[in-house]
Amino acid sequence: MMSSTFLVMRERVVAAIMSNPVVGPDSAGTLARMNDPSQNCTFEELGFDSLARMEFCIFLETEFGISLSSGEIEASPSINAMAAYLAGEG
Amino acid sequence: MESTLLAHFQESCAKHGDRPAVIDKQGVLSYSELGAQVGRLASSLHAQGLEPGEAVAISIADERDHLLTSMALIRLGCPQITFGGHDQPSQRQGLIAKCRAVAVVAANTSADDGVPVIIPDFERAASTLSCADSSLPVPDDGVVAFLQTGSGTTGTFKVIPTTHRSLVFQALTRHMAVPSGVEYVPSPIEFLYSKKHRLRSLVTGYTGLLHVAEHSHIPDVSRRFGVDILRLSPGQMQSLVDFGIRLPDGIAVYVGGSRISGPLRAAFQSSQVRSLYVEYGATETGNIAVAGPEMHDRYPDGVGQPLPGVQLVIVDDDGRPLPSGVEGLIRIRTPGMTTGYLGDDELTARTFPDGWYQGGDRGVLTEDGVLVFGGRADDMMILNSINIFPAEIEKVAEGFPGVIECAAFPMRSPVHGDIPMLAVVAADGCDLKALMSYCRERLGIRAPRKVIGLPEIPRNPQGKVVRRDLSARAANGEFQ
Repeated sequence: MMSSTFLVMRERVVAAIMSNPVVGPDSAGTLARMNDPSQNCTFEELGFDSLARMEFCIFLETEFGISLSSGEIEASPSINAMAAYLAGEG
Repeated sequence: MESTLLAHFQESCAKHGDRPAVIDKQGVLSYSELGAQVGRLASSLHAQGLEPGEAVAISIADERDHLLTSMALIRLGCPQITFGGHDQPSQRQGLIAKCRAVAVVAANTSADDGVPVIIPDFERAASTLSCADSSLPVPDDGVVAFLQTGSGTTGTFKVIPTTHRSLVFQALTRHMAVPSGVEYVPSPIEFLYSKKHRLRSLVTGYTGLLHVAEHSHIPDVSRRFGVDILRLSPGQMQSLVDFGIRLPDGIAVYVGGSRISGPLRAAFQSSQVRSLYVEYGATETGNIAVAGPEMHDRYPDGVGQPLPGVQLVIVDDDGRPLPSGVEGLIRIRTPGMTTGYLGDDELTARTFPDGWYQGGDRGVLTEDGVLVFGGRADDMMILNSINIFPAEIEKVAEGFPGVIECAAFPMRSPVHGDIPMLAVVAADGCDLKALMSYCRERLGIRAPRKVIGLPEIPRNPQGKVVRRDLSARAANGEFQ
């Protein structure tokens, strides 16, 4: 069972990916997985590099006041792992 | 001739012929092999039409190929611009025009920057049957090696020409905890900071490890390749602290590019390694001071004593020298510095008064000669070591339909430094989302990360924008 906090955080993570000026989903299939909480998608398959990670952190900070370092993204390298980490469930 | 970068590199090749010059996933390239390949590549680029003195841009992501090309252009005497993979087309074209670049040297023909593309023949460079460089004239040490770029106070980017002579001085005077060994800069060569260290490494006989790594892999890579000197960005340093994966014992870590806070230094020294060196400098001067491991406790914002050959004074707003202990503007004079900006006499006159470099950093010199960084005299923002002036953002944004007035300001982030934001007073119907994309296309990494519509821009009674107010409101979460 997914907690509501997890789902909120997952939405934020997806929003941060969709707003990323450097990377994003490369197909409709990937996009569908991103938007479906029962599925997952790694940052690697989305093409994240160091700049993309920085932009991801900046979005979470400017939109939601969440401070993350690039290292924390590497430690939680997928949408669901990151959402769980932000929800305090990681 | 003695002080050309090339002469020092060739001396390294003669002295350390069998020593590995670079190590990467393809294997090891010794100094003598690298020297020969650089010569053959220079000769082949010449045959492809490049003449000494012609400026060219490099757009090559592969580490070894980029390094070879960069050295070959130095051998030819062609000033080089470095394009990053994320640079926007308009930025690339602006640079090409400003530097009068005749070509882009690229890995393939996909780039369309309005000038011919030259694809280097690396196979030919690797073959001992190819033509050597003996017939090419040797560039002298006043020739420009790099055309570096930076954000400008007046709203346009600045181009900083750096000569062979300056780069050699920077290489020979940099602080190194060990006299030889493996040096590792995990950031890509397309970042000038990394590229310059890779070249300095070759000038001084170190072995450069070419391996772009995720932050979490840096400790493992360092252990695997026996790294002696590791150069980190502030972001990488923070990640290693957060991550808790230990670097190998005995490694010396250098970091620079922006203010490294006292708490971050302390956390790094206690959780990672004690041998942490914090460097200070500017693109215009190269590194000019370094604070060693013993200094951080005493001076948490200290950036160390000036390096040999570097003159440093603190002056007041009128350029009068101040005594030690009094904060003022930092002035630097070093043989390693540039003397002006390309095509911008006004900015040159302002930034280089009486032969000094005065870039707008404030600081104090202590009684014992340690420089303590005191912040900026102007509104410059530093996002993960990237300098950004509000004027540059504002100038671009003002060109967008419907923008009545605007002000760029930083949101202070504990991890990333200053995140640039833009407050806008806009006419009805002005699309702020489109404004954000418009800025990104023109400013790339220096673009504002959030655009906020406001009824008015806060100003003081003299009409000057009060950016501090905007930053405080951002810190309060008002703009989330």
